[in-house]
Amino acid sequence: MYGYTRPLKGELKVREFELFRSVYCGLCHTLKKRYGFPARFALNYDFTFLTMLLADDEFSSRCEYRRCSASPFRKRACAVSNKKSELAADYSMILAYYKLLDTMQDEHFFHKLYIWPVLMLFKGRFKKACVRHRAFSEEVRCRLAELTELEQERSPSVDLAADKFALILEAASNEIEDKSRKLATGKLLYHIGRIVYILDAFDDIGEDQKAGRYNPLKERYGDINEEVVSRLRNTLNHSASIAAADFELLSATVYTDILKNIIYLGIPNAIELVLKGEWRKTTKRLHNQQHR
Amino acid sequence: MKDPYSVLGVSPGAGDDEIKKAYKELAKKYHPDNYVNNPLSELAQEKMKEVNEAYDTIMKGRGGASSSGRSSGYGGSGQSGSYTGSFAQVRAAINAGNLTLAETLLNNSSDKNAEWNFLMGSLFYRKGWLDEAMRYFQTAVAMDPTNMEYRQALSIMQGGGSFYRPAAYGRGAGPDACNCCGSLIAADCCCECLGGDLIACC
Repeated sequence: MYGYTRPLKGELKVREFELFRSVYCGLCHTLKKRYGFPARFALNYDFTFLTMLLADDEFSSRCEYRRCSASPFRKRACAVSNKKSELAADYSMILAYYKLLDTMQDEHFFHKLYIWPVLMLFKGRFKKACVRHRAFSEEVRCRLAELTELEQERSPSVDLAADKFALILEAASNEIEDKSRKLATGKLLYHIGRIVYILDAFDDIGEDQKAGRYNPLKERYGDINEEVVSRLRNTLNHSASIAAADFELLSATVYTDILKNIIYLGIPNAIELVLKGEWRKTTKRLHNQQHR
Repeated sequence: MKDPYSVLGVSPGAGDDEIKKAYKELAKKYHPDNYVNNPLSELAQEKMKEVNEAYDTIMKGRGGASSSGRSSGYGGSGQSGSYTGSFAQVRAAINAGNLTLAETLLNNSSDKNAEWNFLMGSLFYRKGWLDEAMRYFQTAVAMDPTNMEYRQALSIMQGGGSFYRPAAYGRGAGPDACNCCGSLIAADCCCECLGGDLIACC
């Protein structure tokens, strides 16, 4: 949704990078298989992270080589879809739709013209995913409704608002069978959710101010000066540390090393870049590099 | 029981030093200090126990003394059985993970003293609401600056939770050097709570 949970590419081993890309491509193919071509627009790094996190020991890293519209000539390695990656694809569909709905409410009229057709394309697919995972979609709907309420009240508590968002991510662990794995994954996702919510709020602060929209950080801290930034850095890195401690309790899978990179390097890097105000610039450059 | 070598992540042909090293790394990873007031602390304790047992089994099998090289402090649990003071019930509830009860009790309390603020902070910390936790810990310390328990909690918050990191994932550009004294003192306080001591003089 936001792309903060991506690996720090320079620190990945080549084989780890290839495995990561095969999951990314695999998720894209799974989305297409289950929901048709337009669902591919839902693909992003956060859902790739979720896919790797939901994969457990039974998950094989079996690859097949396939062409796609992004790479029509050269076949690329794709992780073969299975129950767990299908689950991740379903969740992605649900979350992507809500994210789009949220963007739709925030944007200006002209931007809405862009988003509306995609929203329409997603609607039926979203409903299909909801039928498949009623408990999860219901949870997301309720938490977002609570979040909207908080926004209308202009709640001055960052944690209270972040909590609603974090609980959504925590709910993504609900279908893990192993009890302790479920608990640890849920808590890990909770802390990641808190980080993502606060980072997104920080990234949007200028736009929100211009449009007169609610921004939890603005309500909590008033003007964002250096002291506030250093407090945010502290609290976000603390969340990342707790998430890492929780992550260490999960038994290893083929993706453990990539996930370690994301948790110990990728997320702290995202925190740093967002707080320095360099996130959008950097990700745009990275994006262009990758598609060249 | 699981294969003790796979628990430690070493091959059965590994030398004693390698096993000791792997054990120490895991013991650092699952150390109770990394899971203070964390809902997963029990899970971490189980892992710690598993690692300790695996190490002992291997060392016994090799004819060495069972706990050679194993620091006794790594096994301990930080929870004491009974609490005293006016908020004993709240403390017990937080430690048991019954946050709803703790919250109700705290909200019903009329005496919002330093300890009340400290416990509110602990409650929020356990939930992962770190900004709120920081606020309450700050108030607690401001109200009672001499209390070590409150100061220690605040110092952990100010340290930004610099817990265990695998060797290959050192902090990229963190201001850790400035923090290390604070973290050491905080770690010392934690150790003292658990009955050990890290810095002998304080």
